[in-house]
Amino acid sequence: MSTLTVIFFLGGWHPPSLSFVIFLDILVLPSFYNLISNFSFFSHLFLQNPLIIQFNYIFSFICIFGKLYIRLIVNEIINSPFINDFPPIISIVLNPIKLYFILYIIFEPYTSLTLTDIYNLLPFDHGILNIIRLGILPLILYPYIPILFPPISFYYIFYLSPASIFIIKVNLVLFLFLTVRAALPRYRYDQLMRLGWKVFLPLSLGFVILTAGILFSFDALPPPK
Amino acid sequence: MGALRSAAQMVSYEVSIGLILINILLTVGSLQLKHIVDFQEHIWFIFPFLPLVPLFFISAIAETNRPPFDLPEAEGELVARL
Repeated sequence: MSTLTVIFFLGGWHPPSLSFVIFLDILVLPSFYNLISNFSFFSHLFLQNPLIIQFNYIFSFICIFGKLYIRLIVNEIINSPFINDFPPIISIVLNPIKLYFILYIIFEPYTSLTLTDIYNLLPFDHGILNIIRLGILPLILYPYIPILFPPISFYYIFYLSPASIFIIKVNLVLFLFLTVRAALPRYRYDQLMRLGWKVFLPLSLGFVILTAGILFSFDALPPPK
Repeated sequence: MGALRSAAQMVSYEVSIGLILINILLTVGSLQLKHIVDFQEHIWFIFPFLPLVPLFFISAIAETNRPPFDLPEAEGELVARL
């Protein structure tokens, strides 16, 4: 299954309450990653090479208009793409195709929530490259790899492959995310702004300086390329 | 008004997310995912950057505008003439 298919299945069209930035993260970054295999700025400049720019355009059209096409189908079959309008469609006659789209609409926010969690794990994690490069099928197989290909060891039932550890980490963050959503009360808006500007911003700024200072004092700063 | 509140919230938490990411990039010295992943071969970044993880997590939740940070959608709960 290609990255494009994964984008189709996992990265849904988001409700307008989510920002354009997340849309860019989910749609554009994987497509660019499929083209150039890294997130380096200069490789993005390489995309503007006249020899490959046509393929670039074609790929972007497939990504963006393919998703628009799916959304148009969904719009055609039931009246509104959003979960808020789910109750009216209870009355329509179900057939498997409609059921597919209804399930897609119901679970779409949660699939994209899962993808958001993977992106949140990205800077702290070890194994995301496998998903982006190999698609979703290895991800399904990953928990069974120790069973399908058991390592030669007496303790092989305790073996956790890095991929299984990654699955566990994703599930842990997902559990935390959903628990926080379900259990905690709302923040008041002024408290929210205070937390953002007066707590998080100074803390993260201080951590940048602290990290730089520690790296500098131990002479561990990465060499300039 | 909801859009304005949503935009303000996204902007304010985007800043701290960016600064947290700068820590990682400063340590690795590269933006390439492969380098970031290879850098964590011996120790995951969760452990040296342990205080940053809850910051990043909370900021990520706030970025998604979902509960408990979904004030832009909860019109009825905005009080005190903000």
